[in-house]
Amino acid sequence: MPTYIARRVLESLPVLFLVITICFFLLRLAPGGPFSQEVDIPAATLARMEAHYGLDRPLPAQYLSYLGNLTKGDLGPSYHYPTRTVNEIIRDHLPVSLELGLWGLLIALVIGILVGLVAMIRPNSWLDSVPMGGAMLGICLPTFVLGPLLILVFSLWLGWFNATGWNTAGDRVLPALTLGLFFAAYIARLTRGGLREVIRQDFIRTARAKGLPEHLVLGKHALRPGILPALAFLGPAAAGLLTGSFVVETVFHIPGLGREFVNAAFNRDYTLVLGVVILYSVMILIFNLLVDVGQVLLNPRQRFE
Amino acid sequence: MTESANSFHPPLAGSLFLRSAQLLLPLALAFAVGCGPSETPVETGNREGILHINNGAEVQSLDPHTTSGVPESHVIGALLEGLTAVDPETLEAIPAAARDWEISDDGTAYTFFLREDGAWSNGDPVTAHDFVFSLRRILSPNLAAPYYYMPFPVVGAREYYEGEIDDFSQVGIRAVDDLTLEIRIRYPLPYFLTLLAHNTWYPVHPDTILAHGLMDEPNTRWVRPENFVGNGPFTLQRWATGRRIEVRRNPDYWDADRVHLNEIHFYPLQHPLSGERAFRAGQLHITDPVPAERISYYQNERPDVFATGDYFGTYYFRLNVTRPPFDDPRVRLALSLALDRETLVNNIYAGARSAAYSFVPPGVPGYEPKPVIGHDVRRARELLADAGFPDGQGFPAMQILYNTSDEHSAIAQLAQEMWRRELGINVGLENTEWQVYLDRMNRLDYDIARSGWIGDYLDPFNFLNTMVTGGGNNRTGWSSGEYDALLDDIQRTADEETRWQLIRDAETLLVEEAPVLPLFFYNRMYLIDPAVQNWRPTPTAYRFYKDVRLTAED
Repeated sequence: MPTYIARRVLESLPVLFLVITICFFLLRLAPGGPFSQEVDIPAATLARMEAHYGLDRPLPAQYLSYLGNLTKGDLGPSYHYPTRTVNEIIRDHLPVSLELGLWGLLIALVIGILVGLVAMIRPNSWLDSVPMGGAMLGICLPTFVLGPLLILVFSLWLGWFNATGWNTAGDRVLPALTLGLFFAAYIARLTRGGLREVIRQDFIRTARAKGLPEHLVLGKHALRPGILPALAFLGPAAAGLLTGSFVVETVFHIPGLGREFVNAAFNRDYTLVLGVVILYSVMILIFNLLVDVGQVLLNPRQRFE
Repeated sequence: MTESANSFHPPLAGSLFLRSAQLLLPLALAFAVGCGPSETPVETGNREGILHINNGAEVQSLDPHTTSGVPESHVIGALLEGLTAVDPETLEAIPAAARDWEISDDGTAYTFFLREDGAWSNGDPVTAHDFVFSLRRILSPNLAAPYYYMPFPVVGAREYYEGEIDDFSQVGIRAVDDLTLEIRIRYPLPYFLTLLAHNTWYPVHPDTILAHGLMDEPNTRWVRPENFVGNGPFTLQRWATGRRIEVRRNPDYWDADRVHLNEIHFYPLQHPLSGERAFRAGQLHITDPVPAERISYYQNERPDVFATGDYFGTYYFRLNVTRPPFDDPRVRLALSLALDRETLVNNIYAGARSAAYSFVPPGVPGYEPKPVIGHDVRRARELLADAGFPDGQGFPAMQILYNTSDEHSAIAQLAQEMWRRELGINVGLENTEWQVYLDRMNRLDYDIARSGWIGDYLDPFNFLNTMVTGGGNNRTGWSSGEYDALLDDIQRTADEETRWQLIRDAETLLVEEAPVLPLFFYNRMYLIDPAVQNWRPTPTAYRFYKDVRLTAED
């Protein structure tokens, strides 16, 4: 397994390099720039601002010096927030997105797998159709609808939570639910589907024939291979959850990285966009690796190759 | 194979899951209720004198000389103070860092007497030298200040900025002694004293600037809470990016007795709907603006929290006069006359904003807007026929360019429909992202573009000067020698009545030539908790936080 992981890590380096390169040049192709404003700025002032950040040099030279700084872990200054660096912004905002994402992931997993199991137990009964209908609704209901809906009910009508912000423990509940329920719905459907495939297999019949109690059949034999589809989905989903959701962070006004990322793109804050893209890429590569390893560990028919 | 073929009934597992669900649900609910706030931030704030206010966006910096945005100016206004302040009631200049001043007979030499008890938040006295340092800083080309031109009325300021003179002592600002400051301007400016209340004129603490970089080095860390030194009514306590900025009452401020709030917390809620929800949940005392779709609800159902005020801004369409047929003034005026502006403001803003028949918005003391044009479809059709497009025949396909926003989109659709119905011409709609929109406007790569202008200081010149030939904010390709000459005259005229007349002449010429089609005047629409007393917003971004107080509700 260690050689497998080492090889995968080495394989992902060219991918990362490609992402950085494409992103660096694509960003510069977009119209506008980090210093454009509605109020006119004279060319001379603009030129001085660009010179201050070295943006007046030829693009290849900027690219090389960016790569040089990157090897030292320096993601450069933010152009839109001139007194802060990209490293500082990521340090300030990533933990918030990570926390929100972890709660969301927890909700997605617990609710998703539970609902999937329950629906599995009595197929085509109300125990199946109600949760699965709910899951379908959860998939169809976008977060920008669910979020305000939750605020309306639990904050404005019932007064249980704040409508926005990220200060008290209670502030975590609604955003985490908004984020988690969407993924829970997917996981529920994938778990149910996965389990229904497995339950027809011979080894389950064998387990039952041996007289094993049903909860052991399910919990010990069926669950492990049954959640494989959900696990495959979980890799990219976890990366997405942990790196922040623009919509949820905007609706609830949460100082996470997702919001910063999207705003940075609108602001043409080249370095901030690039810094977050690199972070996201690394996280997606890591999570995909983890999922692949996890699948082999759960499924004896797969091998590290 | 049907699903039921595989169905089975495991009583144990089923009831286990059901039982745990029955247990978990009440637990989750109990947890939820336990977490709920017992007292809202607004209620706590009323008790403790903390004002919670939506600031609309994250501030880019807190340096008064390198920022140009409204959110920045709202926070900076609490932390720093210029020579003068603007009285929010009369909109006249009142003493601030300067306790008094004298103006020479010809109106070009100002002597300011600084107050002896003026202090920086680190205890240093505020001196005339600090103001000289600050003006030199903003005029330093390396600082790349967006508002570098604000001090250009000062003798030699433009020449210093453009590098024609290197010696700053030739610029018309001088510290006569520690507490006496002399400023000479090139021509008499009736609004000069109120101009000094704009944040580009605010002083910065020289030693603090120099401790964190060069005098003219942009973007150093002096603006961080641990470093910031100010002379305003509040001091910077906390700047948690994306969360809030906290400022606290400055006990050493010269007018501290007039400051009633203990703290102000600024929240960067970008979306008006988020602000509105936070307001309803008792998290904000004030949120501005009100989402357009909620205006009529608040007007009718909650007038106790809905407030309006003047805002020195105009919403208009630009026409690209370098593209035929917009090179023909008759076509431009026809388009303007055919717009039913009353219907527009009633539809979009429930009538809470007023239609614009001139370019300069209301709010300037002494200058009332007079309609230059009206809604005159008959004349519009005649003009269009004269220009060779009877009933709109042969009119090329033009596009209205606007940046992504529900409001801009609705306004453009209304205009499109009015022109189609009244003039028989078809225009298309073109929605782009903000930066693309700016880029295309700057390159004159558009036919019609939605636009807006918000004045920095209360004088019509602010608006009229945007359309000067070749000006960076013109963005229409329009040029008129007569108009430029009028602008020159306005700058040279000291007599108020003559000056207003020249301004009116220039405005009339502009609106009739119609490179810009004014649609409506902005106004402030905001939600405010009844506990907030003496909240008096001015028509510009300028805010006066003194006098504001919170009363605990009964």
